Amino acid sequence: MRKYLYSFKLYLLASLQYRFDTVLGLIMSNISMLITIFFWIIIYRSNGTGEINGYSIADMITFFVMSSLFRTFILSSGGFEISDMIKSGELGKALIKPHSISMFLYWKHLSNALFEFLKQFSFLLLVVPFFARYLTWDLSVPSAVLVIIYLVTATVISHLLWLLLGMMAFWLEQAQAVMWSFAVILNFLSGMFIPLDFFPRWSVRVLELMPFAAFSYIPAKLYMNQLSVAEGAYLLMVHILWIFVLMALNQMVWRAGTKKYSAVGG
Amino acid sequence: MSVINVNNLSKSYKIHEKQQGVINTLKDLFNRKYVYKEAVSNLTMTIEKGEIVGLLGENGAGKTTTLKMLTGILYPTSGKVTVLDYAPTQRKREFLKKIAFVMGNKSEINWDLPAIDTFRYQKLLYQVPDELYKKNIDMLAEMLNVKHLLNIQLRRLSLGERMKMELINSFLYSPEIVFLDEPTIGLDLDSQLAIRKFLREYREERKTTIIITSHYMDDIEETCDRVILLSKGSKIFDGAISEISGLYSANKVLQLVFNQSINPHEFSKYGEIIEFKDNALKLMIEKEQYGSIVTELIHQNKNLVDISITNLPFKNIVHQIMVEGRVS
Repeated sequence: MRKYLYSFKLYLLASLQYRFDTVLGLIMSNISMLITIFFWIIIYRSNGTGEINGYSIADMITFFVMSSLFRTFILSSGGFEISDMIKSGELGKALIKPHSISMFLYWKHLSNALFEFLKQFSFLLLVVPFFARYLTWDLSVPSAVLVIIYLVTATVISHLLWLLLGMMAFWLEQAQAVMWSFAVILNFLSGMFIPLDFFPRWSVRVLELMPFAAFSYIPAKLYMNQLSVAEGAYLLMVHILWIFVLMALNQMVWRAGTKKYSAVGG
Repeated sequence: MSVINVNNLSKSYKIHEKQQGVINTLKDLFNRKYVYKEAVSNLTMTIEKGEIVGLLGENGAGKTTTLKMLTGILYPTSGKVTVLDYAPTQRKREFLKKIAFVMGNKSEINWDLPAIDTFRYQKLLYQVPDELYKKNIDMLAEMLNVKHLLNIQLRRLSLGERMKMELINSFLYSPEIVFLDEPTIGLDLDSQLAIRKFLREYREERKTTIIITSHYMDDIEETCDRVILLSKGSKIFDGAISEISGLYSANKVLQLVFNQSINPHEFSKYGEIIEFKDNALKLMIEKEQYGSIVTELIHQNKNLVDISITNLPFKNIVHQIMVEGRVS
């Protein structure tokens, strides 16, 4: 365990080396969030109603601000990294180390995620005063604890999902197209474009049980007190079950993939 | 005690053969042609503890593929490999802790951080006890003369210094077998010499088994006890360095220097031209004819200013074997 924690620290240090990159990346990654928020403000204003689908304007803005914070815990880079490693032949180096590559990538990108979270959080502290009157602020302690558990769960589920996709490179050589398409679907199904309860009632239940819901929809709803702690806890069990399913799948694909691996170059 | 046993090892790759042009590329999308390339075929060898063995061969001869199968990166197509009594492809942790694989063209160390940070990580990864870690770092940094560079960000170091760091990174957990793939590629002479010296001294001290591939024949000649020559995936020679030097001992190299330009082809009747540069000509001749050739040359060439004779150098012998594809 210590080796993974140390690599976590190493990557955190390395990412602090580039200040300009940090600031620019922060602005760019938030443009789409800001546009979405302005978009909804305009809709509410022009509609003249206080509520759309049960969401007040405050709910809607809170939902997107929180999503922008929670999405930093979606670990997709591990998947992209493994697909690059397979394609370039770099995987060979990693294979002969006495460690689990999946764990190694998890901790490496978790350190990135934590860094991203802190950046995003400080960005929101700067921007939020402009939206403060729109935001809701009533988080109970049990909900807060559950939100944190969800975010941790989200890091594991997203990491395993993306690894699974990245490992397609064992067979496809070029898995990036599939991965980018998946990114779009994932954003949609995790409620980052539109809250999931905008969909038909029957499908909301199904979507909540899908692994993507843990990424931002459920924690955001918990934060907004629109999902009870009991219900959140019940859904959490399903998402923890997903972790085991994904781990088993990862194990299978990894075995088959490394058997086929041909370690190109050098 | 043998640490590596390889029996009838083969590896073939399935390659998609791409046709030229737009139309053919489109056709390829639907109907792909595959060819099988035999990278290593029927390789059998045994390596003893503490040996330094050089794997030689032209590009694509199967050297790197062999190393990758020995370390468990690649699954063999057929044949049997055991390294330290493990099957490498199972990649057991205990096995991985006992081997190191240094690739000259790939860096292991984080570019943004000083090498010492990566070493500490390596220490945790390979669970090296504090005592041993300190001792090894001190010894390795001393031997490679890089003690003063351990705390400098890696990207600020020269290529040679970086390679030395890679070596420390791989040796610091005292592996039992070290595989080095082109460790001196692109390095200046000074660094090459330092690395060769290091490898020899290290082996003396620790009795580590070392397998090297290199295109620099001097690397091999100066560090290895034994060489294995591969050509098109098959083994064509396996023996001590001294055995190689003994081959072609019936031949000598005659070096002639002239004081004006000559046509080298006039001399090809005496033997094979190895090199011609700046009015200096190197010929490979048969030892027995040495006397008669020299007498004839002196009589017939007034512009000949110097004659010297040497044994056939190691690299020329290896080259000769490669060209012939077998040991004659």
